[in-house]
This record gives sequence, C-alpha cells and structure tokens, in this order.
Amino acid sequence: MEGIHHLRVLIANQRPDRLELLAQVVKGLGHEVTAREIHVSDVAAVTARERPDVALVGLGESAEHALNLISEIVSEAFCPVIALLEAYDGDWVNEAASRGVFAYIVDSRPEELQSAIDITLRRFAEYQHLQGAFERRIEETRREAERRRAQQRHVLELHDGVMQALSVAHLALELDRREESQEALLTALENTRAIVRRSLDQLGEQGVPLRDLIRDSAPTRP
Amino acid sequence: MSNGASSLDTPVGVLVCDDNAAMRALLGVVVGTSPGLATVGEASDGDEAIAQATRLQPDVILLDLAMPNRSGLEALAELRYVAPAAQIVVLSGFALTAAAEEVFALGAAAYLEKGANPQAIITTIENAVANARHVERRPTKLA
Repeated sequence: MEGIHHLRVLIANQRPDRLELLAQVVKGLGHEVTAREIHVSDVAAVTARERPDVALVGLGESAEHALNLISEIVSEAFCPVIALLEAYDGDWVNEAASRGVFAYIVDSRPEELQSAIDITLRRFAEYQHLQGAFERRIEETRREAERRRAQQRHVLELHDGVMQALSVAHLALELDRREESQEALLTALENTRAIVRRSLDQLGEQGVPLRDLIRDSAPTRP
Repeated sequence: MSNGASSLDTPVGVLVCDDNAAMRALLGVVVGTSPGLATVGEASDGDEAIAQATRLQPDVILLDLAMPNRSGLEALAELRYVAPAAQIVVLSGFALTAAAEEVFALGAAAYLEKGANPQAIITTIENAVANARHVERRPTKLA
C-alpha cells in the first residue's frame, strides 16, 4: 500500500464465521478494523459513531431483503459501502449500484478474497485521496473568490466614498455653499488617497517594485 | 401628508434617503428651493427609509442606492408596498446603464445620477409627481 494511506474499515457480516476471516484479511493488508458487526442493520448507526473510511458489508444471499438492507445502510451510513456477495448476480449488482453501493466483492476462497479486498480497498483509497485533493482545491478556490470579493467590495466602498464626497461638493457649490463644498472636496481627496494607498499595497504584495509603480502611475502622454 | 394624487396647492412631501448626512442636508436645501416641494423626513439606510415611508406616507421618496444595512435597491420593492402612492426617484452614484433596468423593474419612477444640479433634481421630482397625477386622472376605458 505504498503511497496510499491506510483505511479505517468497518466490517459487518451476517455470518459470524466470515467476520473473523474478513477482519484478518483487512488487518493483514495493513488497514485498521474499527468495528465488527454481526447485525448488518446496525451498520449505519456504527458508522455514525466510529466514522470509518469505508464499510465492508456481507449481506448473505443476493435477495430482495439484502437490497432493502443495502438501501437503508447506504442512505444512513456516514461512509461509502462495499457489498460482499456470496455469489455474483449481475441484476443484483446493477440494482445495488443504483442504490448507491460503492463497489462489490464476491466472497470466495480466502486467498481470492484477500486479493479482491486488496484491489477494492486500494481503489477506494485512491478515490478518497483524489476526492480529498478535489475538495481541498474547491475550498481553496472558494477562499480565493471570497478574498477577491472582499477586495472588490472594499474598492467599491472607497469609490463610492469619492463619488459621494464629489457629489456633495458639486451640489454645495451649486447652492453657493463654499465651505461645505471645500469640506467635501477634502473628504474626496482623502478617499482617493486611500484608494491609491490600497492599490499600491496590493501591487507591492504581488512583488511589483516601487519604481515601476511610480512610473506606471504617471499619466501617459497623448 | 399628501399623496401622489394630492391637489396642486398642497406641497409635495419628499422623504430624503441617503447615508451621507451632508448629502441629506443639501438635498433638503434643494427641495426647499421649490415652493411646491417640502422635505417631510430623512432616512440614512434602507430599513429607516421603510420605517419613515410607512409612517409619513410621502409623495416622493428620493432614494440613494448604496446605503448600509439594507441598501436602497433592496428596500425599493418594500417601499413600493408600504407607501404605494409615493413616487420613488433614485439618486445614485452608479451610472444609469448599470442599474436602470433593475430599479425600474422594481418600481422606481425616475433615476438621477449623483452630480445632477439642483434644477435637474427639482425637475425630475416634479415630473415624477406630474406623471403620477396624469396616470391617476386618466379616464377609465369602458369595455
């Protein structure tokens, strides 16, 4: 399992004789068995308590009862469910997949069972690893978008402050209120300084040298 | 307080809504320069605008869009509900093209960009009231 993290596995089987064998196989593959359940109907509740990475559930014969049980487990379990079948049944597998089973393994001879569990758990670990990376990327993107939005909001606030102050200055001037106009112009000037200061800080954080910023801030000649 | 269809000799009551106190004071002065208009109240955010409009039932609401708590844009629909006779004149720093479609869809009667001179503000308010009166007096078409 080099390069792939070990899993916390819940094992449930209606056949007690298979429970111990499954636990040995899983442990032998280097994973941790978090719980063993004989009563398959308890699986959902145990996953809520133990929070395993995956549940390996043996359902006995591939019957309607097992399908109902799988629906119940999948809808209530706090982790993906891998079904363990006594024999392959294509129709049952299709139905179980549509009800949300992550994968299935046919319970065969111990040595075959070991390789089947090994491959399935490896695939699951890879899937989980990829999903984790994907979720981390989504989270990073969300945080980045939030940061940009906060910046835009701040810039808009500053622009609105300038616009507001200039509008007051203009209206005061129109109404022949010189002092109020002058006061508003000073506010507009202060708001403008804040915008420039903020832009310079942001560009400075991005590593743009000060001399470039000063050169770029000069108006271009026609 | 009069309403949108009040008689011509009653001054048109204007509720001035802007988060900037200096702007509110100046708009009050502008409104006061017209004998047909009178400032009846002020509000500094969208929530206060709704409360004042409910209480005062002004003829005109002069409404800034960018205000704290609840913005003018967010308050617009509720203002139409709490003061249905009031004509809402939006006065905003946002360019008309950016906000026009939304504010008119929400029921604004007119839109003024900040920086408009006093006469333009007066004329816009008076036109909004005159249009409302015109609509109210139009005879009902018989089936």
